[in-house]
Amino acid sequence: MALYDLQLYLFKLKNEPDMQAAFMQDREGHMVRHGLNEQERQAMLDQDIQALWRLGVHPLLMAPLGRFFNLPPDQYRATLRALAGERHLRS
Amino acid sequence: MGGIVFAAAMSHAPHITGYANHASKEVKDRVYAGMTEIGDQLRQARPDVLVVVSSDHFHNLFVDRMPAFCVGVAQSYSGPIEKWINVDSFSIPGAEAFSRALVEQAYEDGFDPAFAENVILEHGVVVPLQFLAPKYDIPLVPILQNCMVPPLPTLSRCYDFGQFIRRAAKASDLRVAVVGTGGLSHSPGAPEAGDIDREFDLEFLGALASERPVQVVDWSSEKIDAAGFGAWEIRQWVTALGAANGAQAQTVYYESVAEWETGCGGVVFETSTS
Repeated sequence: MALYDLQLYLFKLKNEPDMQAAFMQDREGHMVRHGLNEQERQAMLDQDIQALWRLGVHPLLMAPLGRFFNLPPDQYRATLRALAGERHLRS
Repeated sequence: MGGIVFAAAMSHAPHITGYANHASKEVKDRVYAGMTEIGDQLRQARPDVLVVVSSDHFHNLFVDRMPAFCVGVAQSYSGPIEKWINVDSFSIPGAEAFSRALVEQAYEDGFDPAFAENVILEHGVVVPLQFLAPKYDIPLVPILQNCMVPPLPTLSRCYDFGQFIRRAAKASDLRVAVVGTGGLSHSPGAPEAGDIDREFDLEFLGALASERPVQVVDWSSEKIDAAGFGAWEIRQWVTALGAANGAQAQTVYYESVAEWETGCGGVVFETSTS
C-alpha cells in the first residue's frame, strides 16, 4: 500500500468513531478490507510504533494511535526515542 | 472605521489542558497566568471579531487536498474534536460576514486562500480560546495554515498574509483581534518528542522583542527544522506579526515544559499606535 493510502487510513481512524469501532471489532479484517499489506497490518496488530515510524508515517498520525493503543506518554516517548535522528523531518 | 485592535501569539500544545497537572504546579501556574494575561489584554481591546490563526493537525485537512491557507466562513463552530484535552464541548459564533469578505478581498488582493464552511475546532484553536474567550462570546474566524506537510507557505508569505488581514480589517467597520497559535520548539509524536530547544525559543522571542521584529522572516528552514517540526508553527506568529504591521512584541511568558513536550511562550504585539 502506498504511504499516502496508509496515512489516509490512519487519518480516518483518528477522526471517525465508526472507523475506530469497526477496527476494534475486527482489527485484521478491517485492515484487509482497507487494503493494508501484511507488513502494515502486523505493525498495527503489534502496536509497533517503531515499525510505523520506519514505514514513514507522520508523527501527528502516530501520536493519536499511541492514545488509541493506551500507551502512556512516557512509554510512547521511550519506545520511539531509540530512533531519534533516523528520519528527521525537514521543511 | 475598523482595524487591528489587538495582535498576539501563543503556544497551543494540547497538553496545556489535556495533561495540565503533568507539569509542576509552579510551571503550570506561570504559563496559565501568562495565557490569562494575554486573554485579559485581548478583552480590554474590545474586539468585535477574533481571528485565530492556527495549523490543523489532521482533523480538518489531509494531503488529499492541502491548502496553504484556509479561512473558516461558517456561522458557528464547535469543538473540541479531541476528547482527551479536557475541555467540555462548546460552540462559538462565527463572524460569517467578515470571514466571507476576507476571502473575497483576498482574491482581489493577490491571495487565494481556500475557504471552509465546516471547520471542527481542535486544540490549535481550542486551547488558546480557553484564555482568550472563555465565555465563547467573541465571534470567531479560524484560519488554518499548513504547518504539517511540506511544502509549507514561506515565512514571508505568512507575513504578507497577516498584512492583508490588516488591510481587510481596516476596510471593515470592525475592531479585529488576531492571535497566531503554535510552536515554539517541539516534535510531537516523533522520536525527538520531549526535546525542547530553549535557545531557539529565546532567540525567537528576543527577535520579536527587538527593534526590528520582521527579521524573523529571514530565518532559514534549516534553523527552524533543527528546533523540531513543531517549530514550523512559528508561521502563525509571523502572520500575527504581519497583522500588527511588524510591530515590536512584549514577551508575556516563556517556559520550556518537558512534561508538555513544548517550549510554551506568548507575546503581545504593540498595536496602540498602529
